[in-house]
Amino acid sequence: MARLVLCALLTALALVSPAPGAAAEFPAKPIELVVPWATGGRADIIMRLFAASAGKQLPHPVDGHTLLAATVGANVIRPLTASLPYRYDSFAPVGQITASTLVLASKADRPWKNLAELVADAKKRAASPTFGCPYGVMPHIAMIAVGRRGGVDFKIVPQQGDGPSVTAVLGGHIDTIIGSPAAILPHLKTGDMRALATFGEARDPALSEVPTATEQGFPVVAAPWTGLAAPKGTPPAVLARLRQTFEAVMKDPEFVAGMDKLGERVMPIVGDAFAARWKQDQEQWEEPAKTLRK
Amino acid sequence: VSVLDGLAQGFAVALTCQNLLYCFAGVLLGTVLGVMPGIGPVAGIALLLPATFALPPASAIIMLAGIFYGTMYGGSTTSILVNVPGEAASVITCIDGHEMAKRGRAGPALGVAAIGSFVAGTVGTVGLMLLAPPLMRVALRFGPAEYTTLIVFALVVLAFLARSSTLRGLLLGAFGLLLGTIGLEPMSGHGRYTFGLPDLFDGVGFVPVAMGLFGLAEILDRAATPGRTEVVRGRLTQLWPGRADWQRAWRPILRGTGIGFLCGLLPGPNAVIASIVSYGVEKRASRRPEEFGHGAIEGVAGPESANNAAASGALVPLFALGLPSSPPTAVLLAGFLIHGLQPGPLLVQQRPDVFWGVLASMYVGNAMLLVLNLPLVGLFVRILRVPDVYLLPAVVLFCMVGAYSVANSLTDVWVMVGSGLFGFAARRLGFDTAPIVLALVLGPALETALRQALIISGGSPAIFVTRPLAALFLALAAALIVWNALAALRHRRPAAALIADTPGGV
Repeated sequence: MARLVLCALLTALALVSPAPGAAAEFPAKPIELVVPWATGGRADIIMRLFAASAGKQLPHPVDGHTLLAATVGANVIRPLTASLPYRYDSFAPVGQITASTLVLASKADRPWKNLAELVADAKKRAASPTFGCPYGVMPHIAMIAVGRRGGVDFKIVPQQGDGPSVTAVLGGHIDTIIGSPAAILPHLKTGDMRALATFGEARDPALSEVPTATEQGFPVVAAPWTGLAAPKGTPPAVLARLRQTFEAVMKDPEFVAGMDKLGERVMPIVGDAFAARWKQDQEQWEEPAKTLRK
Repeated sequence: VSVLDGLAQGFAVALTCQNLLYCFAGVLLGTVLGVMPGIGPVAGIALLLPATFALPPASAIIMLAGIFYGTMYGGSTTSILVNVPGEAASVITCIDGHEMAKRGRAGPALGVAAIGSFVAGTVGTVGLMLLAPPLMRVALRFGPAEYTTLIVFALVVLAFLARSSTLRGLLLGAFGLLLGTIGLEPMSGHGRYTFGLPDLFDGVGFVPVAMGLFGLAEILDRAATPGRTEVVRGRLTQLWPGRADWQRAWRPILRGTGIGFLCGLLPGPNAVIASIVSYGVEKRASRRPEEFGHGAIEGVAGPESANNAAASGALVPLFALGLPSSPPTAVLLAGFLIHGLQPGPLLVQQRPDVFWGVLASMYVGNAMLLVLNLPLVGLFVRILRVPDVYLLPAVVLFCMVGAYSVANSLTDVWVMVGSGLFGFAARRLGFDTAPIVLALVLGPALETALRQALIISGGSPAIFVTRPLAALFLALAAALIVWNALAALRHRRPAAALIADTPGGV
C-alpha cells in the first residue's frame, strides 16, 4: 500500500528542514534516503544502486539528512488527483535519474495499425475503446488528454500494474494497454502485440518505427521520470553539494552498468532544469487530471 | 532443442556444487520462513533479493525460486500442530490437520502433507516444463468475468465446507467479505471505512486476523477446557501415515495436484482458491464426508498438495509470458530483472542455461525438501508433548510476533487480539470461523474482477452468463446449492436444524 505510506512520509518530510548550520559539517550525519515504494520494486532497486554509488562519492559512507526518491506520479500527478498536504513545488528537486516513455499497444489481431487509426475507427463506430493501466496514474491521464484531442471517450479498465494489463490485452479482454516499454517490448518482438504510439518528445530508440502521439496529431508528451528530491528549505550550500554528488553518481560506470542491467537508461537532468520539468508536467496535467478529482 | 536435451543441460547447471548449495539454502530458508507466521514467500524473496546481487543469474534464480516453493512446505506445520496457519493457503489445513493432531495423529498429518507437497511440486514442475505454452493460451481466455464467477463458486464451496451449518458459513463468509472492503479500494484508491486512520488504509490484514481467529482463539478455548489435551498426549503413538492412511490419501493428493496446478495459472490468491476447491472436491468425493472437520486425512492431503501445485502453476505465466500473476511471482520477476533477465517467451532461446537450470533445480529442490521435512516430523510432533503451561503462552507469543512482524505495526497486534476474542466467542456459539479469513483474502480479488467485468460489459451483468466458462462456474455454484438443499430435504430435517450447531464444531 505504497500510496498511503507515501502520503504519510511526504507529510513528515515536508515538515522536516535541516537545522541551520548543517551546511558547514555536511555530510556529517548519515543521509536517510526514503523510498516510499514496495521493497523489490523498480524504484527500490534503482535507489539501492544509487545509494551504493553515492556511498563511494561522499566522505562518509552514508550521511541525519533526508532525501526522497521522487517520481512524476508521486510528486506531480498524485497531488493533482487526491487531497494531499503537499504539491509539486513542496520539495527541492535534486536531479532526474531516468525517464522512460509510455507505449500504447494492442493485440496484433486488432484492426488498427496506429493511434490515429484507433481514434478514427472509434469515431466511426461511436465506440469507447478500453485501455488498461492503474487508476489515476500518468498513463491514465495521458489517455484522457488523447481522448479529448481526438474526441473519443477512452474507457479505463483499472489494472494493478503493467503485467495484468498485458495479460488482459493478450487475452482479448481489453483493447489496449498504455504502460512501460519493459512490459510490452517482449510481446512486440514475438509479434503478439502491436505498438500504436509512444509518448515521448521524440521517437523511442528501441521503438524507432513507432510514431509518437504528437506525430499522429495528438500532442501529448508523457515521460515518467524517477529522480531525487530534498526537503524544501534545504540550505543552498547543502543542495549544491547534493547536486554535485548526484552528478558524480550519474557518471559512475558501476551505477550506469547496474541501471543498464535493469533496462533503464540513465538520463540525468540536474538542478533547475529538473525543477523546470516538474513545473512543465504540473501545467500539462493539471487540466486533464481535474476529471479524476473527487 | 528437445525437452530431454534441455533438461540434460538444465541438470548440468543445477547439479554443480555451487548451485546445489544455493538450491539447498533457498529451500531451507523457504521452509523456515513458511513455518514462521507472518513471513510468507513475498517478504522472504524480497528480503533475500539484495543478497543475490553478486551471484551468477542462474544461481540467484535457483535460490529465489527455492524460497518460493519451500514456503509452501512449511506453511502446513503450524496449522497442524497449533492451529496457526503459516500462510493463507494453509488455513484449510487447520480444519482437519489440527483435528488429527488433537486425536494424536499429528505425525501422519505432517507426513502426508510433506509427501503430498513433494508429489505436487514434482508433478507441477513436469507440467510447467511440458505444458506451459499451450496451457497459457487457454489461461489467457480467463478474463475478469470468468475470474469473478470462479471466486463466487469458491465462496459457495466455502460456505458448505464449514463445520457449522451452511447458514452460519454463509453469514461468516459475508462478514469476511465486508471486512475485506476496509481500506483503499482496489480500483481507484479511495479510502473506505478507514476513519482517517492510516493504519487501516491497507485494510485489515490476513495474518493478524488468521492468527487471532485460529491461534489465539484455540489457546483461549483450550485454557477454558482443561484436560482435553491430556487425552492427546496419552495417545501420541503413531509417527507415520499407515497403510490405511495412504489408501485414503493418494487420490486426494493426485486430485489436489491437478486442481492446484490449474488454479495456479490464474491471477491473484490462486493458492488459496486451490486449497478451498480441493477441500470441497474431497468432501464431495469421499465416502465418509461426515469425517471431514473431525480429522479426515483427505482434508490435509488434498489442500496441501493443491497449494504446492499452485506454486508451480503460478510459474507458468511467468515463464511462458513474463507476466507475474500473484505477489510472490511479482517479486520473483524483480529477481529476474535485477540480473538482466527478462522471463517470457524469449528466455528459453536467450538464456537456456537459466531456463532449464531453474526447472531442473526444482526437481532437485523438491527432493531436498522431502528429505529435509520428513525427519522434522518427529521433531515437530514432540512439540505437542510440551505441557500446556509452557506451550500455550509460547503460541500466544508466536502469534503476537507474527502479527507484528508483517508491517511492524502495533495496530496489527490489537487486531490479532480482537480477532482472538471474537473467534473464542464464535466457537463457543458454534460458529466455524474459517470462512471469515478466506473470504477476507478473496474479497478484494472478487471486487476487482467484478468491477473490471462490468466496465468491459458496459454495466451489463449478462457477461457472466454469455461467456461459457463464466456460465459454467455459476452453474456449478447453483448446482452445489440445490444439491445441498435437496440433501437437507431428503433427511427431512426441520428448518430449525439448518441453523443448529453440528456437534463437535470448532
